[in-house]
Amino acid sequence: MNTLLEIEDLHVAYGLGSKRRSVLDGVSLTVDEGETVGVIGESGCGKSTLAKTIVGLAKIGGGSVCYRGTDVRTLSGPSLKEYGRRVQMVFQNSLASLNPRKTVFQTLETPLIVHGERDRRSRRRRIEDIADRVGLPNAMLQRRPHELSGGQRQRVGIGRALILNPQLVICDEPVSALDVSIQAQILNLLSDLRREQGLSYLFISHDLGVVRFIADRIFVIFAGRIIETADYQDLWRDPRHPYTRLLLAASLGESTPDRPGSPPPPSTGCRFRHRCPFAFGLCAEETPVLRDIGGGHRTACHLG
Amino acid sequence: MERPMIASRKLGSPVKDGIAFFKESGYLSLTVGGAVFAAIVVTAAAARLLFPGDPTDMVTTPLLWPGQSGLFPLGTTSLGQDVAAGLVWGARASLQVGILAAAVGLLLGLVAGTLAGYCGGWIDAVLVRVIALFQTMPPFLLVVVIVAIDEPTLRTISLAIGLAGWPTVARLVRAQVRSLRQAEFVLAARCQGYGTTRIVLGEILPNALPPVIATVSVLVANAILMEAGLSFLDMGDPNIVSWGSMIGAARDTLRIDWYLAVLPGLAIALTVLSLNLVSDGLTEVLSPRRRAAP
Repeated sequence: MNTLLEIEDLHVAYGLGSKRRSVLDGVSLTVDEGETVGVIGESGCGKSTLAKTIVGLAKIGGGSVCYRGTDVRTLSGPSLKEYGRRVQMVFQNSLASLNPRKTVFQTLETPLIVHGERDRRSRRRRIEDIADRVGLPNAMLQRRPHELSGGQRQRVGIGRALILNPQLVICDEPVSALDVSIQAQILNLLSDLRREQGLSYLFISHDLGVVRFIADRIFVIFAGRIIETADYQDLWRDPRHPYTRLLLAASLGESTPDRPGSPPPPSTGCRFRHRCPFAFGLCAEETPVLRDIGGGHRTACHLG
Repeated sequence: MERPMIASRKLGSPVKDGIAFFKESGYLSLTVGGAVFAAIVVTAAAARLLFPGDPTDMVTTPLLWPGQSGLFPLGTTSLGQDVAAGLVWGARASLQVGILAAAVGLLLGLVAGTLAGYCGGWIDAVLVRVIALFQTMPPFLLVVVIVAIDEPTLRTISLAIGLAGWPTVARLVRAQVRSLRQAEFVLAARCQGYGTTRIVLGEILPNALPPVIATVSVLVANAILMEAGLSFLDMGDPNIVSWGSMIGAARDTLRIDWYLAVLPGLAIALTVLSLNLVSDGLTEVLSPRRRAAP
């Protein structure tokens, strides 16, 4: 299978000088054609930054992001525009991600204009077709974002991402702002669209339950590093890293003693050790690296 | 099971609710202010029809009090000029200066504010300092200096007042653009490959403008006040009757014929008040959190 997106040892940092803070610290992952890759982690772990870096909204500090074998930093002019057509993003906050002054029709039309669709009638056909696919009745096309429900707005967001016929869609927590029943609808819509259009997704979420529903492969991020990756079934059946287990327990509704975010992760050694119930001497001395434990299941834990 | 209903507000008659909504939503001040301002604009525009002659011409006995003569209902000045004609022609001058100055201030402020807010970096640093420099100078003094250097024509005066007023607009626009630049819908536009012009004109500015539009009416009001101040000090255009110059000329006879100062004063107050009402109303009406009609 062809590799669509290849991220190699990606480093991203915000701020300057002494305020410089590393957000992504050597993240590597790949997305194949037609595949859905899930990325999970708690808020602040860098998963949104990962999404922004891929679509070019955050600056790559080190490492590389390659699309079909081409480093995206070497793209410019028409090839960059083409990349902007092939790789799309669906945002978490559907209200903030839509221009409040534009109707749904205008929101869907502008990308077509930008990418050179001159004919007004064929634009209209395309918009009506996409609206139909994402389950928006034609009557909604003349509404503005604040006149739509959260689920409808997210359908507009997905429609905007799909209208340019992309190959890869980065979904940054697309359902976490929605009611549970609407979440299921949107997730079903996303998996139907993937089947129909042969899309690949990079699906980012903090909710293992949601990611498991849609992803083929899952990467778990903690404090800017990937700490475990596996097939979705493997990860669900046999989570190795203590943090993954914690996430799993949380998504099954078990109460955990853990309060995310309280102690800042240490910069050396295992970054999870302050919150890890199994931490021992080696964890503070040596940074665990991702090790293969069979069948593509890899984990970064000294105990794994 | 019967549950008690939670009343979110007292239920009144639909008419009362409608009136309350009208008052709260800012439409009241917008309508009243707009109507008064529109009346002033119409009067000023019709000056040539209402008073075809030159308002500086001596037409009758000087210092007629208002009501003393049916032909000159607002009285005459010490030079025998018709006060009513002066007020109407003065409105023309005041509005011309006000609107022209606001346009200059708006244009400069929009361009500078958008550049500073969108580009950031050294462009922002430079523009912020230029804005600060302009704001350290008292705007009226700045206008006096510019007018003193150049000839006191309506155009120079308007330009000078616009130059004194642009920092307000620039600061407002800059703040708006800065926060909107990071808005998710702008990020979405950027990663879909929109050009900078399209992002600024199509995505950012339409959302940044409502508070700016509300400021424009204040800008016009300030310009009218400044022009009046200039004319009062005899620094206005000498060939034109304006409200400020009428008040200035009335100084000599202020104790006895005070109506000569009060009438143009009232005209200025009414115009500025109507513009402020429009501004207040616009602020409410254009606010994104505005309530839906009941």
